[in-house]
Amino acid sequence: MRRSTVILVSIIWLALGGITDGMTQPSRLVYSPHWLPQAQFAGYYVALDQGFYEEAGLDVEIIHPTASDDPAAFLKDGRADIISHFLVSALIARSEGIDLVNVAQLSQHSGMLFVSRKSTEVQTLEDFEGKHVGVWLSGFGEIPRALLQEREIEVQWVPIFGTVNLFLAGGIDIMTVMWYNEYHQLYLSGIDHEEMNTFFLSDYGYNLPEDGLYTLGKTLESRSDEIERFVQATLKGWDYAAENVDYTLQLIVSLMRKQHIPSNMAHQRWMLEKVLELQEYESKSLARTELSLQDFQDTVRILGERGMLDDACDYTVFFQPVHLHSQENHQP
Amino acid sequence: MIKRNSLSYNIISKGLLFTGILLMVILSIFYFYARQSIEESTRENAIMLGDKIVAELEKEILPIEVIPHKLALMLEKATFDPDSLFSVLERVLDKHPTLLSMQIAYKPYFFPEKGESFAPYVRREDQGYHFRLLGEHGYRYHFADWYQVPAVLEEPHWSEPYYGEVGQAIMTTYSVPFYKTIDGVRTFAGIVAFDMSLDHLTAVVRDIGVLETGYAFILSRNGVLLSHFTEEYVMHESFFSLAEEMDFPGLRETGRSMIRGDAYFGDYVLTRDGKDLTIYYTPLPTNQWTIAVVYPDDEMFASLHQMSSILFLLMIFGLILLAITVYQIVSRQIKPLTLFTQSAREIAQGTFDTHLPCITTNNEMKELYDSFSHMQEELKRYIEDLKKTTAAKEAIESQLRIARDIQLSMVPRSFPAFPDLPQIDLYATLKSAREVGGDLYNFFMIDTNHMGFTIGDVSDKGVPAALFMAMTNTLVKANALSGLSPAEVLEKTNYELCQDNEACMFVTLFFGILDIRTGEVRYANAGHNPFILVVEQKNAFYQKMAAGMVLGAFEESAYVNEEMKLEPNQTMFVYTDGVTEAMDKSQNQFGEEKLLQIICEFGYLPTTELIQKTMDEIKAFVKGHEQSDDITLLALRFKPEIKITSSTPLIQ
Repeated sequence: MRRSTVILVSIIWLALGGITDGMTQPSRLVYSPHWLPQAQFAGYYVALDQGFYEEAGLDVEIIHPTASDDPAAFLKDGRADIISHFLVSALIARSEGIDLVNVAQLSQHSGMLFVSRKSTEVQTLEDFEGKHVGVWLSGFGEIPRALLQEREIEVQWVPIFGTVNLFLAGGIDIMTVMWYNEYHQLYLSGIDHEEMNTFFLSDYGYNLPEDGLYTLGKTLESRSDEIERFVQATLKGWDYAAENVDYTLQLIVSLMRKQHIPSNMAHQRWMLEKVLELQEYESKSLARTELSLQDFQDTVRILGERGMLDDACDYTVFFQPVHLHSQENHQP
Repeated sequence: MIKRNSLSYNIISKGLLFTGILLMVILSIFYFYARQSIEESTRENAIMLGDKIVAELEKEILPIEVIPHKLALMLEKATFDPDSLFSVLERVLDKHPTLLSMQIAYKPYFFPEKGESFAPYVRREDQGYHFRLLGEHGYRYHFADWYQVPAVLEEPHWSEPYYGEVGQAIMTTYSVPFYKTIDGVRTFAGIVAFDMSLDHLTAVVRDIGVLETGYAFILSRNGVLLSHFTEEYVMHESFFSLAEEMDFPGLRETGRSMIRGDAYFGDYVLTRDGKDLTIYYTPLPTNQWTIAVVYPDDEMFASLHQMSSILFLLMIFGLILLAITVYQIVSRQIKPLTLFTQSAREIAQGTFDTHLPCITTNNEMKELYDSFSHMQEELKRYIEDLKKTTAAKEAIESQLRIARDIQLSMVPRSFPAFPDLPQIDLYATLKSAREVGGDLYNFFMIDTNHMGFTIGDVSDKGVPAALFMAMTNTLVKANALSGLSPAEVLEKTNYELCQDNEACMFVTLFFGILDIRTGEVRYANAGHNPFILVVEQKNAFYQKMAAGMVLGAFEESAYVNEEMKLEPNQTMFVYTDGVTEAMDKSQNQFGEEKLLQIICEFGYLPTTELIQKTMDEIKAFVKGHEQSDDITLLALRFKPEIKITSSTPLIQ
């Protein structure tokens, strides 16, 4: 009798255990993009809105840095578990002592360029000499600096918060912009494409990948399963966004307007389209979210040569892709 | 019901068409000028309204614009304890309730003891003020537009509007650089700036009424809508984003024109619910915004359209009235015409004394009545005359028919001519040109062995010629029976015809005597055409003979006897000149040549058929043209059956 009671209790315990297992609270994960809400991060908002994170057993919260915040600090001080960041910025942050680990490289191409007005004397890269060049205060300026350093073009760097107004007002001659963002903002401020000179960094041998997903080494160690599920759900979000553009744009524009960020469909449409183009990986013979060893080495070399990187790390330490199931089936 | 081809229909339709076109032209000219005038007055109104908005906005902006300038000057000239600046700002905000906040932002490390940033900032709150230093909490104001743009440009600057943190109002910042003279050099020291909410200014513009559904809006320097009746556009959409999303390059061009600072009045590229709009835009000089006023065309021209519609309806009504009036007048005027038509129809049916409509007016209708009346009289008289003439003509024609019968009865028309004498194959025909002709032919036995035959043509036609012909025929036959030679027959006949020939008629005549035993022919000719001798098949010719004077001309005329011999089956073909002179429509004559050809070709046929064939050829030649002269043909073929001896006398 006593023996059977033990067995019964054990069965009940197992059964309850099973139930409680199924009712486990979803794992909480805080994600921060490296900029304000916009179509650049469409995949995350779509994954959240469509419940892909929830399906993956994750309770994801998306927080945003301000224009003067360094997103890497979010990881360091624990405000975020996983962030989007620039490859270059992440490498620098790592060399500065933050244990950043790349778990998925989403953008595979450079979207960065310089813009000058055709009406000015700045027509070629050589014309930059001595000119005022706008660059983001919050970072991302390492590669353009490296390019001009390599070419021994001395310019006056003017850090700005992130608007195009100083350029529009004629306060700077050249501005560093993102193809998917500020370039189109200039166009939407009434400057025609034909009125702008563009200098794509990729055309000068700097076609380096940009946005990737980063977490701290210790987080990856302890929560690798959650990180993996997060990446998978995010990719699902990107695929959904690519197939449902209008829905995605409405979602993003409403998010932005809730936060009182000026936004419109025209600009977000351009941004989504260009960001998806930058995620193209097949031309580099890569798997999706793979960080190319070559790109890694190039970036490290460029930063090292310019003295921007104190301490280069190992590729396998820096890039620790989470195991992705059937990732080849996904197309950006 | 008006018939489509009636006179009334024509007058009314053409008259109405012309009047309608004329009225439409007048209406169009009126519309054009009235529209121009309304456009002009709308332009004036729009400019006035635009200027009023500009003035109203500047009235708000200009007085406060001077504040940072004064403060900048003060900061440059006087020396302040940095910590006292909060109270300076507080006093300014106290005096100017439209300002939300104000800051004095020094350039980096201006006060080395204060560190990189020093920017006292005072913000108005519901109760009292909020004081803080902007550089705290990592806010790197040196890189914010409100500081950086005027600092770089070294000139005052209105920032592009932005969402403020407090209550998320739309804000703008006006920044003025200030300087300090350090070591004798005037150096940039920082920025004095105030923030103000745009809610009041944008509401002023948004709430301006422009006609019923027109509106006004403000565009920022970058083309962003700061005030618009579509609330969701405000701060989010620019002319350029809308142009791109709507795929409408024209809107982009308008936006570019606006941010360039153009002023314009005219058609707006956008429409509203498919209706055209007119726009006036002008720059706000202070901060390079654009103020625009949009007029819906249908409202702008509503009064004109209403007036034009009324005029159009009046025009249609007038045209209908005109049509009715003209119809009545024309109907009254042309009513006699209808009656005349009836009378004319009756007259045409033979009722010549039908009643003509009564005309009381003394116009064209009266003239028509007189003409009709005259015509009626004339017709009556004409018909009377016609009746008489016709009766007389019928009488004459009846007599002529009788005369013709008599004439034809005088020539033998029974064939074969001599059924008992097979050696004579003779056939003749006479076809008169008129009722009674002047030709003749005859044949008769003089004795058992001799047959006389003659053919002639009297100089005239008609009854006198027929009588002359009858006389000639009788005389020739009588003289021949008395046994005279052909020449003697002709001489005697001529003599007798010349007696009492007051009409001076004459006749050509050929007379011959055939010895039916030998085929010898003796003949004499009184001015008649030569005959054709058919010697054998395809061999015929005109027989030459003495001409001889026509009968009836001179009493003393003498004639010559000639002889020839018809061999068996040879044929003599005699005819009158009606044959060779038969004419077609083009006055071409049948001719001797053609006659000879026919005789030559068909000379082997029996005489009946030969003559019939010749008549057919003549008929075919003239092709229905009226016959002008009598046609007479006579063919004689000798067909002996018995041996004839040369001793047999020709004439017994």
